[in-house]
Formats: sequence, C-alpha cells, structure tokens
Amino acid sequence: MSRFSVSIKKSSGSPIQAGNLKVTPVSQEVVFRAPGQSNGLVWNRPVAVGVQAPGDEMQVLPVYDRTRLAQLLILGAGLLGSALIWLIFRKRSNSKV
Amino acid sequence: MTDEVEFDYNKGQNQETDPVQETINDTLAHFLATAGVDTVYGQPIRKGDTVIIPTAEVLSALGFGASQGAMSGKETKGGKWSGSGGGGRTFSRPVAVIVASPEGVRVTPVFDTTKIILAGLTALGFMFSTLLRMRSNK
Repeated sequence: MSRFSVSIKKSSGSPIQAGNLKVTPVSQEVVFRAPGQSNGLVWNRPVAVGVQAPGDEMQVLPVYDRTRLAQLLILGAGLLGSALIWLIFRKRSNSKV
Repeated sequence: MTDEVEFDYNKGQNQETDPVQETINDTLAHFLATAGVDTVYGQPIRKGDTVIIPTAEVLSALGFGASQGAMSGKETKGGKWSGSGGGGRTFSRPVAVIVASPEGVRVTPVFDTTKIILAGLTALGFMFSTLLRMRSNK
C-alpha cells in the first residue's frame, strides 16, 4: 500500500464495574501512514471516562494531559520571549540610526 | 462506540507490489490494528470498594523497506538481488489515574516534573540564545 493517510478514531472499552458505578474508558487513536515505503505511526491517548450510576444518565469526565499542556505553555512562552527580545533589540538599533 | 474520520490524500493511486512488500504491508496493517482502548487504559486495581485505573499515552512508530532488482555486473548478469529491513519504537507516558470509589469518580492527572523542567530549560535556552545573538549583532 503506497499512500498517505491519517485516520482519527475514538473508541470505548468495555465498562468496568466500580461499586455501583459503571466506568467506561474512551480513547482516541491517530494513525499516520506515510507514502512510499511502509511506515506507520500510531498515537493512542486517553480522552475521557464515562461514569454511569444506576438509573442515571452517563456523565463524561474528560482526561486532560496536564504535563503536555504545561510543556506547550512553557515552550510557547519561550518562543514569545525570544520574539520580544528580538523586537526590543531591533527597535533599539533602528532608533540609533 | 466507534467514530472514525479518515483523510486519504492519494486515493486511487495504484502501485504494483511484490510478495515481500505484501508481507511487510500485512505486518504493518496488523501492527496498526493493535491500536485500541486497551493500549491506553491499564488493568484496574481493586482495593476494597475503590478501583484505580491507570492511563497512559502510547506512541508507536514502525517502518519497513524492501527492494529488489536485476544485477548488472559482468559475472552476475542475469541474477537478482533483494533486500529488506525494518524497525520500530514505542514510547509510553502516564497521563492520569482514574479513581472510582463509592464517593464518586475522579481523574487525577500525573504531573511529570522532569519533563516540565526540561521544557523550562529549553525555553530559557531559546531566549538566552536570542539575547546573545542580538547583542553580538549590535
């Protein structure tokens, strides 16, 4: 198979009984397939859990990746800081001319 | 429940495949098919009325290559050559722990301090190198 494809799929696992609660795990998988040779990349991550009490509707609790969020925020701040430093120095050198 | 969205950028592209390539494709297809909810959620740990479910992010990459052709040397003319190889790697990282008790269900995030510190050092590195470059250009 020689084609590039990306597929995003959300799937639920079998419910886990915890006392009188039913916990259903939900995950997302992103599958990349590159063209040319046979290459593939699968990225699996948890996205939510469904919680159902007897007689109640299912409640969805999202699963956040706090580490990833913090990493992106810090790296974004670093890039922004670099851009600010570049701008400040550029303004200074322009005003001297 | 399964919601699937697929983007296929080269639909209709047709290429001849040899048996080795087909085997590789089958292996790859089998590998890609193993992606699922069981990969991400660990076995529940029960302690009394409390159930703990560990969750992790799993990233797997796999690549194969194969080629064959005819030999062109004086002595080897008429012969064929072929070669193939492959490799892969899987990364895994804990994301959160789900705690289900009679009081309710809560999702406790796993905070990886080492990764945060490394991100902070990288960000400082960006800023410091920009500062040095701008000062040297002065």
